[in-house]
Amino acid sequence: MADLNELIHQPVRLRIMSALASLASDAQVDFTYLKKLLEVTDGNLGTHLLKLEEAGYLTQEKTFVDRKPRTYIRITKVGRQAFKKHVAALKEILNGG
Amino acid sequence: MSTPTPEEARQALADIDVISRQVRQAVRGDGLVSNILMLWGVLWMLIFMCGYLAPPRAVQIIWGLNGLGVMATAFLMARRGKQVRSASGSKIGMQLAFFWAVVMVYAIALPFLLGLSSWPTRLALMLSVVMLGYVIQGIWTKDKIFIVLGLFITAAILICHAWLTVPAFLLALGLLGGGGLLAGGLAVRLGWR
Repeated sequence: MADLNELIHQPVRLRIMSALASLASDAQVDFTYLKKLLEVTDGNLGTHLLKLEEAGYLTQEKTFVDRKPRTYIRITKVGRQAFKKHVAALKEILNGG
Repeated sequence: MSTPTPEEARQALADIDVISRQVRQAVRGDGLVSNILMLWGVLWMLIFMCGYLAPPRAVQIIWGLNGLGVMATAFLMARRGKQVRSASGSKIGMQLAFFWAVVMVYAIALPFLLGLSSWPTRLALMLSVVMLGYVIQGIWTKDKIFIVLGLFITAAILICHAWLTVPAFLLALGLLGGGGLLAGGLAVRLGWR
């Protein structure tokens, strides 16, 4: 049976990874936009993003756009593969595997 | 971590589907497209109502409202560009911006270069070129709302130009053209695209 990913399975982190995995491989999403999409607070999102970043599943790039600080998040190849495996594991459980 | 039950797995997969769909819709710009179509729908209604109700001042008002529309559209697109960014997305954005600049040049220049003496005919040609732009964009980006709007409003322009008096033509453009764009924007907002 495929292994569930304990780090990704947490509800907020699962939704973060779902959102990032839906983007094209070269796409980055703004922190504020992700926060609104997932309906979480700054602190909550920041904590979960840090955990995923430490695992190598995403990268965070802090930059300035029109002189305002912005953070852009992108899923890594490792993160995309880990998410894919996790989804496969969930489907196995659902199909009684 | 204890193994989720099948029901918990089903719920997790459902959550993944919901988020994925929301992100894909957002990346595709449904909110942006809806806002732009509704903006131009309202502007068309105002522009042609001005033409119908206050012909002597119509030209200044029309250019003013068009300028406002272009600035508002550019602002909406620039704002969205900061939410999700990618090299491929930026490239398509630049290509579309260039495409629309070319369409607008054709729309404005063609009626004069052809020496059309009747201003309703010049207006009909100008707007038809813009609507052709909608159809081409729709085919290019595989976006049926633009194809439908482009074809519908072109048909409305040509039929109204052929059959209506000038004041009625302006009123019809406002209602059918502006109303069509507004309805298109609402349709996108409701998930049809």
